[in-house]
Amino acid sequence: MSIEDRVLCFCTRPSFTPEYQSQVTELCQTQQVDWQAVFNAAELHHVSPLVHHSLSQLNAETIQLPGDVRKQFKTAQIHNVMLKKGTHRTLTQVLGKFTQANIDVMLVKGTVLNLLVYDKPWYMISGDVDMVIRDTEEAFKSGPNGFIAEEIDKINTFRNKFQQHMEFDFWSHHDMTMNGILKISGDFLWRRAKKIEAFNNPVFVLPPEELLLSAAINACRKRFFRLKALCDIASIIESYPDLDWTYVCQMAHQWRAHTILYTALIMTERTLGCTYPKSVLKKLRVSKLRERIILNSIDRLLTHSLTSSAQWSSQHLFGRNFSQALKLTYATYPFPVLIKKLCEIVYAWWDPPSPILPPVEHHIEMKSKNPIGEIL
Amino acid sequence: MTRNFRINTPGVVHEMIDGEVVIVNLDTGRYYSLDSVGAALWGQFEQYHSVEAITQWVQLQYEDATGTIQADVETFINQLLEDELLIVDDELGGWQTPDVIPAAGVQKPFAKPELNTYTDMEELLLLDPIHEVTDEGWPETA
Repeated sequence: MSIEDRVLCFCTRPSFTPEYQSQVTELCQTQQVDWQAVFNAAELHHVSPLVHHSLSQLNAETIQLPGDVRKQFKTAQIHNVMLKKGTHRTLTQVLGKFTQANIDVMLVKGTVLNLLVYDKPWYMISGDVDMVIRDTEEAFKSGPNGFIAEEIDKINTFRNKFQQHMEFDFWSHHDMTMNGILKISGDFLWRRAKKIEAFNNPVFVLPPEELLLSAAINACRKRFFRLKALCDIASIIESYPDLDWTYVCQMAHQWRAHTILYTALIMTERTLGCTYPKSVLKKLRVSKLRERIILNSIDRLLTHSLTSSAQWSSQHLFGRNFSQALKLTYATYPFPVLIKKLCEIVYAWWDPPSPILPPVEHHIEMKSKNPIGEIL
Repeated sequence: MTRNFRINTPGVVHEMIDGEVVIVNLDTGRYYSLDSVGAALWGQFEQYHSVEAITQWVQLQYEDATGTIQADVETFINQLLEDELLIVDDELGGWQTPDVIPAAGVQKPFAKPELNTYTDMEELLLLDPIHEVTDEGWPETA
């Protein structure tokens, strides 16, 4: 890892302890740090406010942080606070309407981590707000509240322009199931969920064990290489020292997400550091062959720099870009899914789809229908 | 006559982060940042509600080397009123004397407070369709 990578990883740790502070100061005194590269990478990994907070605990002169880079960090922090304040108001309004209509809503992903895990949510970027409605899509849309789907759609279309997505899903969340790849039952999630008061409304949230699994799945969706996703994992583990690891491992198997959790834990440990019982990796019972592939991929991935886009660079195979991070992600998929995925890639290469025609009337009609089915 | 003012809640929300205050005016879509003296001053608006009280607080805390404290504080408060971050509220209690007096010789150097204004996200903050939903609930279907 380069010095910039090391500084970035230290500053992304959930607890930037005096020990880490001294290590960063020492690093900066012995070697020249390209601070602009650190900022660019922090932005890429969605951790710039957190890194700014960590750096603000150090002496800017001692670490030789240039004023212009400091200003960029500061601006990113201010922008993040503004977005969070705005989202807080919107979310309070949206949840209020659901409460009035007697619709149960579960908050998932970053939204719930801000509530339950992070002491200082202002330092954490979460562009999206993700919610699950306790109903099936068909029943909801054909029921008395069906018209709400159109209202939600308007909100989504508007917020998407600002990359501030507000995603609703029915019964379970497509990001959690990885669009059906994982065996996660919505019924089960709703049985496990607890009702709490948040944003002036009753909402459902998952217990810490499921939060951890969900964060590991999210890290997989980000190809195990977004530091924000790994920071979520480290923070959950740190916030809940009494996690029931036996249950976590059981559920990981049941959801077919044990390889994902295995990889997520190792990646988090190797980048940001996190402490979990060593028996957990054994309990996840990852096959020797797959273990070897995963560890090898992680080694290769970490030889790339976090502060450059090298990890996203890729080899071309069957017309697709295969980065090291994507290879690692595929290595964690359940075997039948992996085979299916590879078959799809080879098939698409063998028989490429027809080019997309320019928009005509039909396209306008589709647009007006909006991707409710996809988003909701 | 003494003018009393307060933070324009609930339309104005704020957060103190690492010694800096980020203020969002949800009604105008603008957001702001304050650091050093400005941030310290903002922190006093919960307690002191008049130019006189705030000026007195600043004079106790900061060294008035240039003799401009009173004018600078007034300009700053007027700017906050203009941007609707503070509003005049005569129902508030009148004069209140600052009670936190620093030990002699520990006054900090005064720097003119600056309000940094950002307008790049006005559209997101103001036009979100959820704001059109009435208190009665989601709009009824036609």
